[in-house]
Amino acid sequence: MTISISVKDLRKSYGKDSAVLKGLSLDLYQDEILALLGPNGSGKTTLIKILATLLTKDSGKVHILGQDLDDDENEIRHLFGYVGQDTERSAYSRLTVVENLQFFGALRGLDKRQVNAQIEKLVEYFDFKSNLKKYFGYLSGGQKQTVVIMRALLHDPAVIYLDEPTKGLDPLIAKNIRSFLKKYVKEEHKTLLLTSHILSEVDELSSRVALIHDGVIASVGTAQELKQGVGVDGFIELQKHSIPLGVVDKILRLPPVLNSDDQDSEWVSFGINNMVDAMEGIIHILREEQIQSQFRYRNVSLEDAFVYRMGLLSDGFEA
Amino acid sequence: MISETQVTRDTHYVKSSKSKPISSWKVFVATTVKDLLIQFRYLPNLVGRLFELTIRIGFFYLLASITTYTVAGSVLTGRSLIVFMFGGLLLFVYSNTSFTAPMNAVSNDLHNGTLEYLYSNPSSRYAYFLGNVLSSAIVNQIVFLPLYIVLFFIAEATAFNMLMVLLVCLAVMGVLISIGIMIAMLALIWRQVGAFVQILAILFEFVSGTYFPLSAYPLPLQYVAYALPYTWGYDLIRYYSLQNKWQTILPPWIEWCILGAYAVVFMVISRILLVKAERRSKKLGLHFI
Ligand SMILES: Nc1ncnc2c1ncn2[C@@H]1O[C@H](COP(=O)(O)OP(=O)(O)OP(=O)(O)O)[C@@H](O)[C@H]1O
Ligand SMILES: [Mg+2]
Repeated sequence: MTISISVKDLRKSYGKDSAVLKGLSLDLYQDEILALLGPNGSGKTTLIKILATLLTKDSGKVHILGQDLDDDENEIRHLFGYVGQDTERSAYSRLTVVENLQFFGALRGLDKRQVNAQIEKLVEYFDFKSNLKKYFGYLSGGQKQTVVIMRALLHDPAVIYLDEPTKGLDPLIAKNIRSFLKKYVKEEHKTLLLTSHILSEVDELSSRVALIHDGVIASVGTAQELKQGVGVDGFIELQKHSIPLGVVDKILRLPPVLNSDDQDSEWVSFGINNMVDAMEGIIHILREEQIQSQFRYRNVSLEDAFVYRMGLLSDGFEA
Repeated sequence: MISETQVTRDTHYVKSSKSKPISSWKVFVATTVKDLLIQFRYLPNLVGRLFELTIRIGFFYLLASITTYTVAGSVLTGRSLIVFMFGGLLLFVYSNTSFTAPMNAVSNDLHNGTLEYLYSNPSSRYAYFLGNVLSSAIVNQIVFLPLYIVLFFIAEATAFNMLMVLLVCLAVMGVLISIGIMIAMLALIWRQVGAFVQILAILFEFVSGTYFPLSAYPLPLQYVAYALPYTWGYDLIRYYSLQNKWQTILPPWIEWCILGAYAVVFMVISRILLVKAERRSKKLGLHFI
């Protein structure tokens, strides 16, 4: 596997504020989609902006496709495409979508023919043909975001940074864009770094997930590995209003039931490690207590893994 | 270029990116065209601005036809006073090129996040700002050219002198464009430069002698005026259009040199500010206003 982006001991603080990145290290491989997860304000955007040459780091080493970020920023700028977190208005309102893309393409040395060819390729996936002649300013929020994503892909970059790319997009377009990105990265050997708070999207899209916490990468791995980290196979959930507290305790004493969670207003959730045994045991107890309750089984989601891991981290445990 | 790095041993990167270096000239042209297109699409705004200039010209035409200036022994009245006024307005037409246009461009680009995107791009920033400033200078030709032609007829100046007037305008424009970029950069560094720019614009309009001869001003103000590039542009324009009726402050060739020096100085300052502004923004973040 080829490392395409290597970040070593990266530090960054804004002015006199305390540091946002405190010695962060991370490697990204060619052909992979890495999703950066972390709570609000944990420094995801800061990291992406440093990689996109929009912020200077305080210290640390960054290599992008073998180029040292300290040596020649302009060389590096040719290599990546960038969608920022709040950039959905960042094209010119009174130019049409095509005019905008042609202008931004020109700034990358692409002529109209090249831009049009690339647009042709993208609009199909993005279902955008009918909007090309509209003024950018007249597009809806999600349509603007789509243009900004197309702009980032215009020059067919080897590395792509997407900071919450599907924010504001309808499920269908978001799905199309995801499938485009997946195919694009795989077939054309790109590297994609993205952030998203939509964890189902991350689960579907990413080859690996990195968790950022307190200025460093707290863990990296596949979504599957992260989910396994929760330590349960899945969850059995019962309707809260029908389960007395004593029964919860009773269920918790079953060997395959590892923990319970009653954060949700409707469901009590039991983490289990052996589905058949756990089901048997729980059904037995429900019969015994003559309880009528809806009963459901749920796999561990990335969200469970995220919440679990963040809980551990903020309690001061090592990842 | 792929350099051997210590990062990986097998550096077979797929660098399929089609992005390639682009000359500043092309960036400049593309930006100018883009901005012209945008300006013409905000038509009411454009028409309003040109209309305001026209009203101003009308007002000073009226003023010139009912007053008399006495300058350094000679009397300016009637036709020659109109020439005096129009000579001043000829340059004033460009004042938005150096003040409001660049400031607004940067504020908008900053506010919408366009600037952030542009700064992730490898193309020349200087050329981009230059294009944005020049486009407003081009639009102002709509007022400049008629004014220039009218001046040509009423001044009864020789073709050579009118050519010299044009050259003065070009020289001043060179200075103004640099000042424009300078102000754009100040807007990037300080964000809120509106008030500062207003003061500067008023200084440029009233102190450097757009409507009144410098010699009518109190001495301290005259010294302030010497520091402004417009002053020398006006003086030269009047020298060429009023001919023997006008006494320049310094010999014309020295005034040319001063203009040239200003052009160089402001170009250098604007370049330095460009680098400083980018460095600063990259430390603190190009956050929105
Ligand atoms: N330009 C700036 N100046 C000062 N502080 C900043 C600036 N940008 C970000 N910060 C601070 O740095 C921290 C990290 O911000 P960042 O935007 O990187 O977080 P994030 O992980 O992207 O969060 P989110 O999920 O909300 O997008 C935050 O505490 C934020 O307040
Ligand atoms: Mg962010």
